[in-house]
Amino acid sequence: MSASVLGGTQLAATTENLSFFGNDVWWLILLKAVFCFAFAMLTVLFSIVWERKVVAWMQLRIGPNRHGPWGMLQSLADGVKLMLKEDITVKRADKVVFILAPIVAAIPAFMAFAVVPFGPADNEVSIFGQRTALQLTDLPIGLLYILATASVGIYGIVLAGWSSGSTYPLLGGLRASAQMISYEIAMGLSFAAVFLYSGSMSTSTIVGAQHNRWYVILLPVSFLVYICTMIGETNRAPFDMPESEGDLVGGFNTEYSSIKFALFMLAEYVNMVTVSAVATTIFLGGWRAPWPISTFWEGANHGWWPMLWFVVKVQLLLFFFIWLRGTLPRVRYDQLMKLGWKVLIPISMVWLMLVAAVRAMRNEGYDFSKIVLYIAGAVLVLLLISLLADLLRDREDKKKPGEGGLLAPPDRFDPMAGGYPVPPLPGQQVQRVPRRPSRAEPQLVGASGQDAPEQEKQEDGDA
Amino acid sequence: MQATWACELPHMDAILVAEGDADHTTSHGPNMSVTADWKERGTVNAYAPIFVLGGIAAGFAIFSVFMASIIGPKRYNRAKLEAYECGIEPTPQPAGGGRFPIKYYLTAMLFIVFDIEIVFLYPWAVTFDRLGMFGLVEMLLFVLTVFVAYAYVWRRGGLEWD
Repeated sequence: MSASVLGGTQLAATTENLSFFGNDVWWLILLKAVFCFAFAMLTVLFSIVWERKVVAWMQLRIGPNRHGPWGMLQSLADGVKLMLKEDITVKRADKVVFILAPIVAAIPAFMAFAVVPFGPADNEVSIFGQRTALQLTDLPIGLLYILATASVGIYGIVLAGWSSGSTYPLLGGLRASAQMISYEIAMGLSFAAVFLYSGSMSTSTIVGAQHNRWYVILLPVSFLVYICTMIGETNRAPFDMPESEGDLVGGFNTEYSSIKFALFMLAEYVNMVTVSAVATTIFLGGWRAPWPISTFWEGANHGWWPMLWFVVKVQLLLFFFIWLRGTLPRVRYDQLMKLGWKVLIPISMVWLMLVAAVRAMRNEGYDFSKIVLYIAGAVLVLLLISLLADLLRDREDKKKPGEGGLLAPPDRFDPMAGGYPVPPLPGQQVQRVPRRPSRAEPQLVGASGQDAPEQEKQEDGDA
Repeated sequence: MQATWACELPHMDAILVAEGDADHTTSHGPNMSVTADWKERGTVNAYAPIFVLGGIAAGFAIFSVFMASIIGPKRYNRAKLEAYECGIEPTPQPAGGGRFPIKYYLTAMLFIVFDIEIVFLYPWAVTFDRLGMFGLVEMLLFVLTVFVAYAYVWRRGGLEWD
């Protein structure tokens, strides 16, 4: 890297240096691969019990406490039980794809761990006399590889839904695929902001570049977008429409039993661990010790200690997943798609351009206060334009009330839907539910239709 | 003897090409020195561990599916082998899977448009510091054109689910 390039990049202090990877001896590679597999597996076994425990506490229950100390062997017992259950392939299923789908879902879930850094990339630790990095391998396209494996995982779910030859799985598989590809766009955009700062897609370089500040501080909006998308990507509550037990029984895995079902559950939880590990790596400083510890303890980022910080961060993110599940109700599917396409994508796109503009100006040697001034000016102009557009649209709305073609909302909203499917009881009146007044549809009224017109403007009558 | 994977573009290209050639015994042209370096180190490619991990995962998945089909009980009957629809008669399905809402297809098409946009964004983001102001302006123009399409789709209701 030439000096002129380095001159402009104060933040990307580490250059991409992957010479530590790809030269381990074969048994060390095997050992590390087994470790990655075991790490994913054990974290999953723990986090399933942990999830059931935490959700139980949030609902004032006890949770699993029969198998092993503190119920810790519950998921192992579940796995063994599922192994011994009858393996059913339904009559209408496409046999080959039906059996292949859980395998296709499970394999890429594990494979993403190959490039996750558990520790520094400069041969810090010694395993049986071999100095090596605490990372299976690293690629110049590390995060692209993680995105690729995540995308292959979608195939497993779609194929499972399609091959079952049944209605619920088909709908669940379609929902899952549409949701995952929608959220993948915003996820990819939040990655791009990280690449701007790190100048590299390799995971070890990204962690190395966070030695001063974690990217969660530099790129808070990207982090928030990533947090949203990682929940959408893993089909977890509150975005778990694909397997909503209320309307689709179990979604894409309805027809699966025995270990095939277990593989889907395993893949889902491994994916949770993977996205948490990625969030830790690219935003939360990876294996770096958290702030107060790193100030007074020099050795915190050396030797085997980094693995501790990494595991702690991943566990905290997993707890966040569980917390969300215990707290939030499931969103509707149209709300989910709206959030993905109309909120997350524009926000992350504008944010990425903003970050790029700031960085380009800083590289050109502009004063920071000037940069802030320019950006603030641009944002102000945008806000003014949107305000103006809003005002103009309001005026247009007022000009022609009630006018509209086929797409205009119906004049009256009938909560009984004309007596279908549940006819109203004799004399039944639907009570109004107080709602925030809607600007878009001021024409909706209650079932009885006898309300005063002043009230109509203030509340929707969809009881 | 270790090759540093520096960030300069021409050097990077050479290495990327060399990785593709790493399994060939002979390689010609400017990539030869890098390929020779891989050989000299006597070590495996940085991509090999991925396949080791994939192999372990595949072995686990296939083994467990195979074992479950052997050790599980097999007491089938007609009702058990029907598709599950909460106890009612399964919905008849035409051969080939039948029909599903067009929205999913539309979402997939839109996804491809934006995914390709992101594919263009990644190399730009990685080399951003070397491109300077030129890179910023170019990408702003590109994103603007995509945003026009995005606004059009939004306006036409392509992003509405119902």
